[in-house]
This record gives sequence, C-alpha cells and structure tokens, in this order.
Amino acid sequence: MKSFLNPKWIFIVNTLPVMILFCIAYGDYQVINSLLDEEHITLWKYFSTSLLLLTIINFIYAIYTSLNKKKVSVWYSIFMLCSSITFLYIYFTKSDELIPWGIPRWMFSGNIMTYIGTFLMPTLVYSLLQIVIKYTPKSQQLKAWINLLVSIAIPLSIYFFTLIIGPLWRLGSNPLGIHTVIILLVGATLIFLFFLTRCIYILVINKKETWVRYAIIWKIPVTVIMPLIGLHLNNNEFHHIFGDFSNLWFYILAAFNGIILCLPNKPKKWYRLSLFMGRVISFTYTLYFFVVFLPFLPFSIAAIIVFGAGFLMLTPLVLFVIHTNQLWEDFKYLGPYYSKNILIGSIVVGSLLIPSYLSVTYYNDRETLHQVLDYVYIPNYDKTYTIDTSSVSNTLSIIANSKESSRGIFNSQQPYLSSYFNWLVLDNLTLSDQKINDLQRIFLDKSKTKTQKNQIRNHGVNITKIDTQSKYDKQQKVWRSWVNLEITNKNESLKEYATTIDLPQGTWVSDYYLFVNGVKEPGILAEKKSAQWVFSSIRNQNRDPGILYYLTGNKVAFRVFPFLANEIRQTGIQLIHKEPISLRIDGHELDLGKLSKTPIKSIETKEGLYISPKAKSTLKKVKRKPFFHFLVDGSSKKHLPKYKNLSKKILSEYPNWNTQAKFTIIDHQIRDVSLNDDWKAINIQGGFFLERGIKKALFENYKEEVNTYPVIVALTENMNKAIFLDEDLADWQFTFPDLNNFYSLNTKGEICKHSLINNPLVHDTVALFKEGQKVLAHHHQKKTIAFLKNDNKPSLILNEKPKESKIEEVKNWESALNLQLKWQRQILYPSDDAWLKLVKESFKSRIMTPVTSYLVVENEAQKAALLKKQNEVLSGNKSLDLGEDTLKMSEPELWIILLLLGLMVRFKSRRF
Amino acid sequence: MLPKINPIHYVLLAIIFVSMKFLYTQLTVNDLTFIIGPVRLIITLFTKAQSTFLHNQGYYFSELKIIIDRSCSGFTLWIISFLSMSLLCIKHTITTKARLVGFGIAISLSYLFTILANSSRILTLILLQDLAKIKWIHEGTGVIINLTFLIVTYMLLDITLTKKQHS
Repeated sequence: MKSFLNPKWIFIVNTLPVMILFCIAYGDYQVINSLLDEEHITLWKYFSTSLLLLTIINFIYAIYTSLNKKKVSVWYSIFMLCSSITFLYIYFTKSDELIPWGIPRWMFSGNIMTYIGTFLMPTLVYSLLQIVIKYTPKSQQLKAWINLLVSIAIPLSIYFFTLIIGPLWRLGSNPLGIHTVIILLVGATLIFLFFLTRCIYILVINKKETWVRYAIIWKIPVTVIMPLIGLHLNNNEFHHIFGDFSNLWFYILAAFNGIILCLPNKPKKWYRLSLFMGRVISFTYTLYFFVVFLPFLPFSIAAIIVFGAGFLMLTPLVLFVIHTNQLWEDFKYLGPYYSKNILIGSIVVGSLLIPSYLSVTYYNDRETLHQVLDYVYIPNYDKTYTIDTSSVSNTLSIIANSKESSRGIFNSQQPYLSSYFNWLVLDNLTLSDQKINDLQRIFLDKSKTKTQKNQIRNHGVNITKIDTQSKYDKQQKVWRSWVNLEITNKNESLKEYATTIDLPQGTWVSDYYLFVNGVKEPGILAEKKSAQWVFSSIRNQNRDPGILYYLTGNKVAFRVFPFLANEIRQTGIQLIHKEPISLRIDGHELDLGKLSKTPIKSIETKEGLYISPKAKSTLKKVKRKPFFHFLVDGSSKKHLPKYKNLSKKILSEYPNWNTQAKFTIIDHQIRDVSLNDDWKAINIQGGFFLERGIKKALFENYKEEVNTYPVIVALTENMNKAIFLDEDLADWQFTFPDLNNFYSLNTKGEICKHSLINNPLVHDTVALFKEGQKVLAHHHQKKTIAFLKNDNKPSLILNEKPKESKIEEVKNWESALNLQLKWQRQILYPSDDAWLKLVKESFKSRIMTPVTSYLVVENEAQKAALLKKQNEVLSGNKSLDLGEDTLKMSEPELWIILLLLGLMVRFKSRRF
Repeated sequence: MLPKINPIHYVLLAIIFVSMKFLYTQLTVNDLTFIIGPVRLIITLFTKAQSTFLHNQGYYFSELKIIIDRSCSGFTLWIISFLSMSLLCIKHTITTKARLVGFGIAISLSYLFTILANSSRILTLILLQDLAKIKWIHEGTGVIINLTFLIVTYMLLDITLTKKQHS
C-alpha cells in the first residue's frame, strides 16, 4: 500500500484523466462555441485556465518528487484535495452559466457534468488515500470497527441534526445558508469517506485471521447480494437514475462476479489459475461500475441520509477494492508456478474478453444498419438485396431505446457504453425519429403512425405587394427576374409566412434576400439538411430567418419567420429562366420576361437536352401500349392466394393489357414472380414498401425505352398501410409521361385511383382502369429514343453517357440545366458521391438545386453554426475548388505504422 | 555502464507523443506549411512542376494533378520518428540532462528525416501514376517507404552511437 506514496501515481490519477477531459471538453466547446455569449466564453476560459494551472502544478510536483526520489507529501495531498474540491464546487455552482439551458444537450458528446466528476474523482480518491495512509501508522494497533462506527455515526448525526436542530436555524432560506449547508455537507462527506477508507485500509493491512477465516460471511453480502439489489433498485425503484442496466447480462455478470470472488482460494494451481482467469474476465465489469459511480462518491452520504439505501452507491468502490486485492493475491500465489508472461498474457486476454464481445456485437449492428440505410435511402434499383430482418429488429430496437427521453443523470441509456455505441455504430450522428419509424415500418411491419412533416400553412399572413423586374442578359441569353414581395401579418400575434411555388421546368432560383431590422440581408446558399436544421433551431428562438428549398419535383417551399402583430416585411427572390414564364405565388399570377421573335428550340448540354415547348410541338405523337404491373401486398400472407385469383380475373377482363403483365410481391423486399409460382411459399418479412415497388417498376420501364408503359395496380386490403417515404413521386415525373397515376384494388374488387404527383394515399374510387395519354417521341444521339409528356411545357432528356461538365461561371443557366439533369440522374442512380458532387456544384454555380437551400440568418453566430453543420455534412471530402480527379498524397495511418513497427520489434526480440 | 531505466522519461515521451497527436488534430493545412513547404520545394526540384498554395487546402500541382494537403503533411511520420529517435537517445545516454538534450536533437533530426522520407514517398507515388489511385497500392507504398526509412535510420543511428560509445 505504501507504493501509493510514489509520485508517479500523479501522472495516472491526475495528468492523464485531465488530459482526456480537456480533449472531450475542447471537442464540445468547438460545437457550442458559436451559441455562447461573450460572458460565457470568458467563464469557459477561466475554468479551463484554472484546471490547466492545477494540472501543471501537479505535473511539476510529480516530476520534481520523482527526480529527487521523494514520496508524496501529506501537505501536497491536502492541497490537491482542497483545490480539486474547490474547483468542482465552483464548477457546479456556475454550471448553468457555463452551459446555458438554451443549448440543446444533444450537442454534447456525453454528460459533461458527470464527466468532470469522473475525471477529477481519481485525484480526490488518491489524495484521500494518501491522507489515510499518512494518518494510519502500521505500528499502532488500530481497530477497524471504531472507524466503521465513526463513519456510520456521521450520516446518522446529520440525519438527526436536519430533523431536530436544522429547522430552527433556517439555513436553507438564503443563498449564504445554502452555500453553508453544502460546504458542511462536503466536509462531513470527506470525514465520512476518510473513516470508511481507513476502516478498509486497516482491514487490508492487518489481514486479521478472523476476517480471512469468515470472509465468506461478509463477502456474499458485499459481492453478490448488494450488487444485485443495487441493480434491481436502480432499474425498478429509481427509474434508471444511474443508467439503464436492465439488460439480463448485467444481472448475470453481477452474479458471476460475486460468485467467482466468493469461491475459496484452495491451494491447487489449476483451480487457482481458472479462478484467476474468471476474476480477470469479470474485472472489467467491476471496473465499469467503479468508473460509473466514481463521480457520485461525494453524494453517497447525502444518499444514505435521504434514501437509506444510498450505502449501495459505495458497493462499486468496495467491490473494486476487494476485486483488485483478490487479483493481487492470486497473482502472488500463481507466480512460482507459471511464468510472468503467461500470467500477464492471461490478464490481457481475460480483460479484453467482455470489451471484445461488446465491440463485435456493436460492429455487427453497424454493418446491419449501414446495409439497411443503403437499401432504403440510396438504393441500387438494379440490385437484389437480402437483409436479415432479425438482426435489423435488434439493431433498431437498440437505437430507438437509446433515444428515449428518460435518461437519468448520465443523459444516456448506459453510461459510457452508449457513447461507445454512438461512436462505433452511428459515427456520433443520430438517426432521426422519422427514419427509425420508416425502418421499423419497412422491416418489422410496425404500423406506427407517420410522424408529422413540416406543414406549409398560412393563416392571415399574406402578400400585400408584388413588384417584378425582368432583365435580359444578352451575353448568356437568359432572363433574370427579381420578384420583390411585401408580406403583411394581419394577425394580432406572432406568425410565420409559408407558401409553395411551382417553378416551371427550366427556371431556377439564383438569389434571395430578406430585410432584417431594416438591412437587406442576402441569402446564403447552403446544403439543404443543414439549412433546415438551422432554420428550425432559429425558429424555436424567434429570430429572423427566411428559407427557400425544394420539396418534390419543381415545388419550392418559401418560409419567412417571425412576423410580429401587423408587421410588414420585405423579401425577394431572383429567378433565372431561358424563356418567358408565368408564375403563381400565393394566388398572384406573374408574367416574367417577354417573348422573343426567334423562339428557342432545344438546347444540348453535356448532361442532356432541354426541349422547349416550340421544339416539342414538332415531335411525333405516339400511343404506347399499356400492360399491367401488379404490386402485391406481401405483408399479409393469408391474402396472397386471393390476390393471385384477383389478378387472373383482371387480366381476363383486359385482354389487351395482359401480354407483358408483371407480378411483384412486396414486403420489405421487391420480388418478381409469375402466376405459375407458389406465392404462399415465399418467406414474407416486414411491411408493404409500395413506394420502392413503384419506383423499381418505373425505373425498369424508363431504362428499357420501350414502346410500352406499366399500368401499376397495388393489390392490397389496406392502402393506408402502404409505405411511402417521400410525400409523392413528383421527382420521378420524367419516367411516367403517359400516366401520372396508379391504382389500388382490394379483394372486394374496389378500384381506387391514386396520384403519383400528389399525396399517393389520397384516392378516388373509379369503376375501370384507364389507359394513359399519347406521348411525344424524341430521337436523340441517333440511337436512343425518349418519350416526353404531351403538353406545352419544356421537358428535359438525360444523356445516356454524360460528359464531364464543370461549373465555369456563377448563375449560369446552362450550369443550372446540367445540375438539374444531374439531379434527375441521381434519382435513378442514387449515391453519396453523386449527392456530394451536386451540393458542391450548386455552391459553385450559386443556383439552388433540390439538394441545397437559400437561407437568410440574423447574425454571424448563426452563419457559423450553419457552416459548422454544413462542414459536418460534407466532411472528409475533396475541396470545392479542385478538379474531382485530383489525387491526395495522403500518408499512411499512424496506427498501421505503429502496429507494424511493434510486430517487427517483437519478432526481433524473439529471434535474439 | 548500462543505461538507467527511469520511467519518468518514458512518461514524458508518452506525454509529448499524445500532445503532438492532439496538436495535429488542431492544426489546419495553413499551420503546417513549415513541414509541407520544404516537401513542395523538393517535388518542384525533381519534377519541375509548379504549385500554388490554396488557402485551407494545400499545395496544388495542377500539372501533376496532385495536392499536398494536411493528410500528406508527414506529421504522423514526424511523431513516430521523433519517438524512435528519443528511445534511441534513452538507450545510449545515462543522465537526465543528456537525455533532455537528446530529445531536443531528436525533434530537429526527425523533422529533417520526415521531409526526406515524405518527399520520397510522394515522388514514388507520382512515378506510379495511375497505380497510385488504387487505395491499397497508395497505402502500401506509403507504409513500405516510411517503414524502410524508419528502420534504416534507426539502425544507422544505433550503430553510430554504439561505435561512439565504445570509442
């Protein structure tokens, strides 16, 4: 025990934990920095400087004493104890100012409050132990039970004091009184812990025979019963206050740990080695709870007084001491029988067993999650996926549980383990409730109600004045039109203005402004998700943002917030368009640009073609042949035979449409079948993912460029159970020029018509299936043919093999066209790379695309928050200004070199 | 006389190592010009290709279509080479004073070593042309060159210092 007086311990108990704490705190500070006021930032600086100063003092002292071969002085321990307590005390009183309540807690990597306790507690425990060792000389025959009695007497006296004398003093009525009470409580806790530690220390150094002989009597309650009761109380009576330890494994490990510590130490070397291995394996469990409960050590006395059962909080500490001591005893016993290498190897392997098992399990969860996310959100429509739904179920339930609101003191389900899970499985990001809901519906058929999406509603906030200015850019041969709006809130309360604008094909948003406090603030083009994140967080604080972003297809959402009672605000949008357009904003019809004498026909770019209404009028009209594509609801297996008969009946009623009829059974997967197959033999899992079925059907038909088109019929009993992730399929319009609706049919024979370009779950009951309209055939690139919608609006055609295009100029119409075509290609062939490229090119061209958004924010902090979020979204990728084929000369990872060097050194030392 | 095993020196090294690694996480490419600047000069000398420094991005060689940015600064190699040279210093010195001086020499020597090794690595990758775009070849070449440099330098220094001690 005297080895604790060695100053090297200071590096382990103080320098190292504080360095880790600094790294965590620095990371968190970087995230919340822009949301802090000057005053809070100063406070952060004071605290970090003080902690750094204390650590440097400790470090210098440790170096000095080590070099001079001195032991740690008791005065130094007292200084370390007092300074750390003072720091913690001031920290907790000022914690509200350090981390104001306005900052969302999810922005932190964990609960910073408990982390500070965790990382400073080793210093406190070490200092206390030093003092105990100093004031417990071995020469004197001290009695452990006296110390135990004193430590028990302390909480009891405080209890009686608060019950009888305390109310007369009324200390808690003023701030000074509260501080006095806290300081007295801290002092009492220190004395309590001093005597308790002294009691344990005396027991350890004296090793009284009676204690050793009857060890089983005190070991069973301390190592088996108390941990199990503690777990039970935390999980049931105290609602996971210290974390969610309700998993059966916590109980199994607690029992195993207790039993293995209680087993007698018989003098048989194989038995003892097995015991040692078992104790090493379960030591990580003891260590985990020791670390978790370390910050609560000072509160143990208060917990004992208030709850009585608070003494259970000391169990991890006592268990840790017993376990460590036991391991040391085993090690000493086994020393003469086995080589040091075998014993150290056993320690390394054994202690890594539980963490490795946990890591492998988490890694599997990660693989499953990534596979599932790829399948749902960036699918390859050509690929057939096989996903193990049982694994998905397990992973999703873990993620969903980790987001539950009741989170106890640690702000996470399982202290430290949840952070590890978030890091390994979720890359420190989170999965939105919407996505969890979607995945549960798709893979587990859990019919939860769809979460409410942002509603575009407007009550009493209207456009009161519109002014337009269209200017023809002769150089680029495009129109640039400003639409300036004056919007008035006619209500007597705070309101938001929100509307949608249907942009004609070939028209894009190229600029935006909003007046904030009389100053015209230009819009910032930002990545869409980041911009929406910033907008919603600012809206919650009633600041001044305005935002423009694409919904689906060419529909753009336009929102301004807030409008005070009767407030008038001014805002404007710049549009870039090739031809004159008619626009409708909130019921106001606008004509932008003038007709030229020489109308535009078609414009070819590297990505594809723009076909003007004039050019379309010259194209040949063709009537493509319809065929039935039945999408069968596979979520209910018992209905499958009925659906089979129903489809046969429909085919006989519409003989002209049945030649190429297709059948697809849909659960979470999409499986093409034929009428000859046994549909009941198919293994069904998950919900009716109809959106994927429709998209795959459209994708296949579009790709084939054939003279036929599918009439999609969903065979289902309950259309409301059909899963759609997007609001509608307006983005896919170019793939269904003939028919912009699909049908649903139930076993009663009721036919309903659903739109593909509006909410697909809304339906009209119809009597018959109807074929689509004629389309326009456009032959391009000599070989291929494209079918366009027969209307007087412009259309776009994708090149089969696009050439590499670069953004040369800002606000260029052709660049905008290329971006739009790239977006269309990305719809058919989604990928992270394509998305990232689109975001970057949108920034470069300053044209808003479906992946970006125009946003006005109020101040620099909000701009910084936006940029930070944006960098997170775009992180780790190539720079914007460089060509995409630029090669980075990255050096090898540090760990690879260190690992190889380590292996070489090991190999060399073995050979020689 | 056998070198003295003083754990504090190893702890000190570990702290320097962790601090350097932490420092690296905080540095942008603009702060790293002191280490990538000389590398860029050597590459220009050998390839005659000109480069431009792009703020927050690094040295861009448009002709070679390569960029020397933060990830190729060689800082990691600097950390490892400093560590190996310092361990050599502990092996061949006895007093604390000599070791502290040795650490100082190691940091400057490892800096020069890093520039040389990193330039060789980049020049080899340029020679490999399209092959360098394949991830494992890129990574593997880097590992082989860095390790070779580290081992050869370590052995040469070890032999030199041992000879000096004996003489």
